[in-house]
Amino acid sequence: MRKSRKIARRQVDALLELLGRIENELPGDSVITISEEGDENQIELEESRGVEVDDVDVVIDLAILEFQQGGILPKRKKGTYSLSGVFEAVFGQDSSIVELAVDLETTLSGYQDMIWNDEVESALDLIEEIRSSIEQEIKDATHSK
Amino acid sequence: MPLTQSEVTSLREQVKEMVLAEGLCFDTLARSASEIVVFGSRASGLNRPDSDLDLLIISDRSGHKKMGKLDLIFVPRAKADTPIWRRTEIARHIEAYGVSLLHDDVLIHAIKDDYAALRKQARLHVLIKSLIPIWNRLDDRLRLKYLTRVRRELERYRLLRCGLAVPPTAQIDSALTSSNWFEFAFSGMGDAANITEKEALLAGQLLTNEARRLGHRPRSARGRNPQKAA
Repeated sequence: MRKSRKIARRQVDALLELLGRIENELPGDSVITISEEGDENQIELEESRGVEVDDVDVVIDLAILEFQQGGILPKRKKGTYSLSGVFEAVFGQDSSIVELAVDLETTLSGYQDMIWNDEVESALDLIEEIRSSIEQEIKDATHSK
Repeated sequence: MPLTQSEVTSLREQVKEMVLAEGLCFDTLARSASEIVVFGSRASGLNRPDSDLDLLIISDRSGHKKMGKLDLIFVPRAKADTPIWRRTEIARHIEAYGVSLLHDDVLIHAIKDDYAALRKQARLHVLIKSLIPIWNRLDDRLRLKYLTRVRRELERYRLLRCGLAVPPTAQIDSALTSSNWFEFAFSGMGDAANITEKEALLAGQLLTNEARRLGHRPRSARGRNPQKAA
């Protein structure tokens, strides 16, 4: 039988806020232009790609830092929380929510500095799935009281 | 330095074992792929025992999958042949440093123009512009994380600007051996991040001072040279 875990409401609210902040960075500007002026062979590249990994990374790091400084998450002695590490701290390592968070983390790590358009779609789907799972977890916790 | 033939044979066995350890069958992967390439630190023998195994798989699939130590990048055949993909940093890296698991030579032929350097410049621009306004809100652990990222990206930009392929990260770090490396590590940011000279000077000074204050040292300078793969 699965052990019930006490989940703090303010931690859950913080996680939902984190998901919202990530969502706000997606899909971002899908078109970028790189140009080099003053060159005889002017280069201008325009393409539909996705979102810069750094844009999302900074948002996640800042949010996690705020949660630690606000006492919502315990401060770690060594290293920083990863995105999935935050979910693990709240729901425990065996939670299916943590598995989804690991998938989201991988998707948001992109490759070649970019979260490509197809990955943006996957990330948005995962965020919705995590939200639903959190709601279910809260319901289950409420009923078990 | 490229791997010897026996090191390549050993790497192929290592890959099969690591793929199997994640519940995948290498032969099944290989049947649906026209090319599988090891890249990153393991392809150069600069890996640590806990390093990820980076694989580029040219097949019908697209996307990025991380399974334990496996980092799999799937690129569809049609995309791998396009000029836009062949101009990327990863295509250039793989052509120069990759080890094919299916052929004698890697079947990726990169186009070496300014595209990858311009992409890196765009990335550095985003990174610097997003970091500087929030720098004071970051704690030292995050400052170190982003210092390292900026330092490595600047070095990658310099290499791409010179028309070179970017080596594995361990090699970038191991190149910084002098004790005053940070004096030049954060220089030339105006061009690299496409920001004004005034902004570049401020950002360069800030990051140099922070690197000194935090005692930031690349892996090699901390006396932990990357291990040569067995």
